Amino acid sequence: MEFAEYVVRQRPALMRFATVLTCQTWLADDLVSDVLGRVYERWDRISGMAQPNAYVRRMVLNEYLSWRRRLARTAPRAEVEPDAAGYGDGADERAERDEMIRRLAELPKKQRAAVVLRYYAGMPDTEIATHLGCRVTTVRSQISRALATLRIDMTARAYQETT
Amino acid sequence: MTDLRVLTDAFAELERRADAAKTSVELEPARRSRPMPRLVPIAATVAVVAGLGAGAMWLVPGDNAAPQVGSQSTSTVPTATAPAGAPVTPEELSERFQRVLGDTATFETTGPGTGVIEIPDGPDGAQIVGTLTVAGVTGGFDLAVFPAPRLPGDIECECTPTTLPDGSLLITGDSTIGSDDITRSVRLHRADGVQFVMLLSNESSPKGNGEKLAEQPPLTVDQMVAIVTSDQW
Repeated sequence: MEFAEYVVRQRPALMRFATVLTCQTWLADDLVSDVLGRVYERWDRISGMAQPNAYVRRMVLNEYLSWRRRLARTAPRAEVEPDAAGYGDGADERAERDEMIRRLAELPKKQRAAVVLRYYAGMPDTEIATHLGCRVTTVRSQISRALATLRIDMTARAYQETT
Repeated sequence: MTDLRVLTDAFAELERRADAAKTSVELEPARRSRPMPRLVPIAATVAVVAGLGAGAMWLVPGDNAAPQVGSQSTSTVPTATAPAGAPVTPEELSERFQRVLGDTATFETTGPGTGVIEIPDGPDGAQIVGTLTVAGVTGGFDLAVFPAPRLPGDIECECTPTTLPDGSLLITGDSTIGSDDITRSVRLHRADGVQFVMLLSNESSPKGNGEKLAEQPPLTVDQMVAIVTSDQW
């Protein structure tokens, strides 16, 4: 696959992933652009991989963690704008969802990454541990703390532990 | 307390925002078969002190203060009748930025991030990153100018673009990354296909990467708009 074709096909998904991680579309745009710039330079090697997209996605994750590592403070706030009407849910649900985005954005970087990888990307904890460079038990404790901050009650809904 | 459904809804909403946000360096459909533009970092530390040109624009920090156009000296400030294309080097961009600012602001490009925005098979653009000082108030800025032709209706964002009399589209906004930082953004899609993206923070970096330098960014959004829409580029 040519690099240009890859970008056309995968950039939207990478932007979604980066936006979920950063909670800011302009930061996600910057992040994805930076990563794709580096991918372009190494495309001959990356395109030959069995799963190039998984590799690029991991680059996005690493870039996000690296950016955040450079930050002195780790309490980013989300861009939460008043919604235009008509997304199909009620005002209470929208408020609840926006509050969740706000709390998500306030999570420490690794906690947020762990939550995103498990509940957005659907990764098992073992794979998350590999991505984050920590032990599985650490992943679970990070997620546990994150869920507490997010005020998510796991007993309120059937939950399948991913391992 | 809530449940995972709300987290799933939050992810879905962030995805929707991602889909709605057009990349700042996205090319028009006819050019998307080409590789993406990429920023080529260079180690550039260029201190630029504005002061060569007579006052093209007087910038006064303040919440609602609009830039005041000062008297112009035709000996040093060219009378631009047609907009120039995008600068192709950070040095050229710095020079033009200095010309637009006149003697009312100083800036220093520090990088990383300062460099050429390469657009394969097309003219390049440039980006400079550094700090900007106006009347003793300093903040971090990013300024990118690059060719990015668009088609009518190509702009989508979580905002309301303003269409200027010349057909350019203007998008402005404030955002926050940390607890007390402010980043102001101005994006201008000029009718001639040149795009300006300017971010300005009260911290040393608009990406939140650095120390807090002031309570407010050194320019208002209106002042930033006046800069990117200047005919001095």
